[in-house]
Amino acid sequence: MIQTSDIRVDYGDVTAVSDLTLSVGAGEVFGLIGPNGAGKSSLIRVLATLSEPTYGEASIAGFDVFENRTKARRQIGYMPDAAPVFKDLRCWEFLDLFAASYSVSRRERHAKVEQCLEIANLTSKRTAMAGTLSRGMTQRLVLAKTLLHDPAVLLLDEPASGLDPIARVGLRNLLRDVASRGKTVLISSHILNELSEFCTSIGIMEKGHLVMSGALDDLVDELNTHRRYTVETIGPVEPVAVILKTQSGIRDINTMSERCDFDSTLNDEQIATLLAELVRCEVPVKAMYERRRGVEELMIQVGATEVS
Amino acid sequence: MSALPSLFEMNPLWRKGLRSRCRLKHMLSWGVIWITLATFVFLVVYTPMVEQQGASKADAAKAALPFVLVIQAVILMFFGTSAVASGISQERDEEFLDYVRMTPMSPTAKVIGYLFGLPAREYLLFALTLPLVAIIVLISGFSLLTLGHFYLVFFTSVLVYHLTALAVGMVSPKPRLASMTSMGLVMVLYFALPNLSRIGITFFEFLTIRPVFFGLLQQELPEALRARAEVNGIDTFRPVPFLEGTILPTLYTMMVQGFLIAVMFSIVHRKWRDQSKHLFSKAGALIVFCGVTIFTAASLWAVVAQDDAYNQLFSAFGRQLSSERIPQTFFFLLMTCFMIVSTAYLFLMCFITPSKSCTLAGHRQAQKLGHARIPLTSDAASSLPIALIMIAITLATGITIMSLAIRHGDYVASAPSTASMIAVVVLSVSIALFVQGAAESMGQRVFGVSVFLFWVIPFFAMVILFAAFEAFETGLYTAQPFPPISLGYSIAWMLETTAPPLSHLDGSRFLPPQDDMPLTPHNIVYAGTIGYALAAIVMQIMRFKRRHRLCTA
Repeated sequence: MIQTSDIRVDYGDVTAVSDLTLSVGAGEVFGLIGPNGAGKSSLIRVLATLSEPTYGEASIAGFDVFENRTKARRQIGYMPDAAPVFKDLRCWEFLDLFAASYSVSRRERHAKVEQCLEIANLTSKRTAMAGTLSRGMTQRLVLAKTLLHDPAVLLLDEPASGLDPIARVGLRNLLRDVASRGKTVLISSHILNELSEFCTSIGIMEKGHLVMSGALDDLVDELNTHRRYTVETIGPVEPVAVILKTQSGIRDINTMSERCDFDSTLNDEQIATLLAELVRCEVPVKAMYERRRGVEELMIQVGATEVS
Repeated sequence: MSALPSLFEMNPLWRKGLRSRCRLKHMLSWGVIWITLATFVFLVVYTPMVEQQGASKADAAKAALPFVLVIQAVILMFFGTSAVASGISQERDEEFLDYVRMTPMSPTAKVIGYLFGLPAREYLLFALTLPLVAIIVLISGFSLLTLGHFYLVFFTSVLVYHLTALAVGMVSPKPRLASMTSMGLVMVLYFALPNLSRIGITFFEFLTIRPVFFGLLQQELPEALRARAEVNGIDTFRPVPFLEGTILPTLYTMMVQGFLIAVMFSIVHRKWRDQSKHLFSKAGALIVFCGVTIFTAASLWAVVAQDDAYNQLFSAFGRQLSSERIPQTFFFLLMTCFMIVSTAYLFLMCFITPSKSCTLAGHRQAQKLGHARIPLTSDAASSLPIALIMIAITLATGITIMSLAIRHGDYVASAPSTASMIAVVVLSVSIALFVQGAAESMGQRVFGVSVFLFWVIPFFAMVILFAAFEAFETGLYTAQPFPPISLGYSIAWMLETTAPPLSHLDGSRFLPPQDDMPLTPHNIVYAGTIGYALAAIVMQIMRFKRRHRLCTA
């Protein structure tokens, strides 16, 4: 659904995106992650037909974004980082403007606007001026705008930036709802752990390059040569550390009051044996579980690799 | 969405303008203010004439009409232009334009939507004053044909200004700056450039509604007022000399304003497609240059070729020059045209010359696509080929005008000396190539500063040398880097070699008296020519090296 080939974007002497090739299948929710300045927004702007790359090819739903711009635009719903709204328009007027701009017929327009307001949970704000909305509501209004013309692909650039935790949860639920409607979504975000909850695949960008991409679990498995475990105890945790130090295949042991974290290359059977050993030594184990690495840890790991 | 269907269903951007800028509370307050103002202006003219001067109601109403039209002009041309410039600039600044850019509406529909949507309030306020105009027409029996004629020109002028504002707003980095720049441009278009009509370059006058306002509309005024108008030299609504013939003033206005509308529209259209593109494509710049050259040369051609054209222009527009067909008049006209074309060349070169990063990106693109070089029409291509074509057009036009003048024999009766012609040609070409080379090899910022240092400062020095020490020769040598001086001096010297020479009539000499100078004027011309030729060669070598360096990086 989204294809790029050898995309390069230059700003003066700075190369924002360097020979990037990417493929996102239909129905996928692709999380684009990377530190600031990695080139995520530049890539999204190229895909959104807003800027021309130095060279390279890109297509959305089979339409070349440079050669067949108008048809490609009909397939795209774009939400920029800043997500501005026309402050002097009411919420329904704002949506009506874009519904008309996307040639939604006058007959369908009203229903479409109401539907999108409902999806964004903004029906009560229908006649409010867009400039009076809170940041979270503004983001939801802009997301509603991107859904108006029923695009096949959503390009969401940092949709949760600047939101407070409650607004972030609201937006996350809304995004999850949108993703469940079968749209192909390319989303860049700094709130990385939230991405892992609904992204089917991710791409990690670093200094304009796509360092790695694929299904989240595959990437985690690919990078995780060892797994991280936590043991929680009732009372002092030191005996756990003492026992762990005697075991092979265990490293990076960290203890906090009643909790001990460690990395392990042991398989499931060996972990079970370890747990039995702790119990046999009368260590008061409350819980022992594997802590799956999130997107954030993954990015840091990849970033560190890249730097080194 | 194509432009055509959007005409049947209201353009969404126009509707947006109506909704955001024409809410009832805004319209009530602004409407009351402007209707009150327009009514006051009408009554303050109408009532005293009827009550105190004993004029008929029809005459008094006629006298008041122009003032109400001025109010309408202020609403649409002043406030409307400001609304367009600041509105578009603000939307660009806050990244709203990205949303609109992404919609599948055609760029033309988007431009039209903004063109009429941003000043929606001003159009409605204008409409609110129309009933007053209708009342005045009813009272006065003012010719509807004349009024229609006026409004036709009025609205094309409004389009010119609003499109100018739209173009400025798309380019200018800040809303306030955009608003001020567009207002400044309107002032220049309205008050500064039309003054060039006084010396024969008619087309600037027709960028405004002044010819139809002062010329046509005032013909309908009562006798007493019309007489006052004629005293002010405002009898301008007459066929405009153009090449060998004349053109109806309304048609000429449409031509001139249509040209400017097309230029501005192409800028805005291009910026809609991609904000990072140059204002003009290479071909677009060439077309604009040809347009400016045609309009300028056609005015000059008419003055040279038509026996009474200059007298007509003189009586219509001004009292600035002697109406006699003498070499001095020809010199001023030639210089003015040359400066207009040169200014157009300078600006166009700044607009189409690629920056370092643009060249680099273009080269990478060409390399990736397997092209041997950057395509000539690309923004990243060198502006040298276009510069050479522009130079050729200018020289061909200049030679044609000079030949025409010699053939008619009124201004100059014989060809200038070969040496002086070669000097003028070499100097013109050198300056043009210097400008192109400097713009491409230095980058625009350094080029701008260099222009100030090497052009303006020598000019200031010359003025001081003239004023304080009467050091003409030293002053002229000093000012040779300043192109208007070096070109003006070389053209003056060229015309000095014709028959009759430029300074044959009286003491008003264009060249400093040779007796006072140890070196003759031609040495000054040669110094300027050789200096600029060397500078042009240096700049072109720098340009070539830089381009080669970038393309092999």
